[in-house]
Amino acid sequence: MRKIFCKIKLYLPLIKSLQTALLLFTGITGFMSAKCPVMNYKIFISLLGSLFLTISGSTILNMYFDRDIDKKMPRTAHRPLASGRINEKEALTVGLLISGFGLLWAALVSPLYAFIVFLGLFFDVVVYTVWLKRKTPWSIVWGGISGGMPILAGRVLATGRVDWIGILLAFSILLWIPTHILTFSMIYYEDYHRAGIPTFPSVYGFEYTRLIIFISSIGTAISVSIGFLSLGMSWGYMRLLAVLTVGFVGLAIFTLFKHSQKTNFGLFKYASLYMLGAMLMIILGG
Amino acid sequence: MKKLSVLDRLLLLLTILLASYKIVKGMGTYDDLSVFFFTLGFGVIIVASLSIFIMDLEILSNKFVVVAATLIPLSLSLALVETFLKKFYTLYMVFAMVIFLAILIFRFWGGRLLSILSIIIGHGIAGLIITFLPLFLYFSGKANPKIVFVGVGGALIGIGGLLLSFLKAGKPLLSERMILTVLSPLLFLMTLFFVLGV
Repeated sequence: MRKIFCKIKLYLPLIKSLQTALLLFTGITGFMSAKCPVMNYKIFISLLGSLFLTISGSTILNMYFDRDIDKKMPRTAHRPLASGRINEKEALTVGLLISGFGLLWAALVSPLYAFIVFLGLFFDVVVYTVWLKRKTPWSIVWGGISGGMPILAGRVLATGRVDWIGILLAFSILLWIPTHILTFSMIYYEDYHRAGIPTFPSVYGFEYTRLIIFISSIGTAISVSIGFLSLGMSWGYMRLLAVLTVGFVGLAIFTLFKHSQKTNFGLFKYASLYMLGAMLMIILGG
Repeated sequence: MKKLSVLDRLLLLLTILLASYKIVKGMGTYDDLSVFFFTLGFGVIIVASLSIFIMDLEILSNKFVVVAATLIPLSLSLALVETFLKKFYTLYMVFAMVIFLAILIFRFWGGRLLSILSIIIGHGIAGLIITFLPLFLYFSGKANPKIVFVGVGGALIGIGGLLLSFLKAGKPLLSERMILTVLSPLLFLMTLFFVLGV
């Protein structure tokens, strides 16, 4: 029993609990955004279980494929695979099994939902991590597409079809990802440089990266606002979104002109809270 | 500079939630223009609290924050004047715009003295309106009794504004550490009273 507990403790950092929770939260948002049919707890638990397993599995697989570059970066060198605390083959097996179970569970609930979940896994592990991450900074577009899949999957599970609101919500996540990742890659520029990962700051420079972050932030704000209008959110929620959007865009403009690590990190955190707030509002008021 | 404590963060989070609740829930019987001004006031409270929460108290030394913070008393007082003193609304609107522009210009391009003077005038007059107009309305029975909470919130915002203004002027009424310690509780209580009163 103690051995199992120790293993779980070792594997927990491997699934990046915060990131997994956030993606799961977007899946719940997509599901709740459909309003009807009324809440079905059996389906809802299936959504939670299958998404959690697939996202966790894909994160473990990412860690497996990135273990060599993780060793080179101080920020990630302590991770269980990079530091050699978990056997590589064991991690690969666990990652494949968990992802497989997640997909199987999803397929039992709805084949279309399972297909969207599979696309998320495929774009994240195969296209983003294995194929493009070490080749081009534009790989983040594919990372963004995979990041948008849980919210689309949640919506698909609730409505039974791929509708334009689901695509719009996924697009909001896709547009938000550059703000999230590029501010992060500017903060940890040295780490990525040491590991030989091409990022926007290292390939195109900091000025261009700031401009992309700004455009991405504006795009996120516009698409989230259209999403709110499309979902028929009440004026109260629209007002609150407007307030948060003004703060978000204001900080993005400020970061464009005022270059400092502090403002950069501020935008990184604000962008996360902005998306979290928008998702929460959709759940509460959708 | 003092760092935010866990209690500070908790209070800021509650402040954000309270102001968000009010914006979503609406402002009762107030007309659209007043709702806009109240939303602006609560909105600046949310963004300011979020900024402090994310970037710690150092953000208070930022010039933009000082200018944006002025919008809290100005917008709340504009909402009250628009609702209860309609015949003075245009005059007060002009004053609010002029003083806001003055604060903006002097903060970035004016001298220290002009900057502090404009902030004190703006905060002072708006603070007096938010504090005493609700009290007057309450005692004369011209508004819902709960409006007295807005007056209490106004007094708290006045205290906060004065403490920060004198601190910026180099003549602090309390030590900087003490002012920064009471800032989050003050922000929370002020928002709580505004939410109760509006």
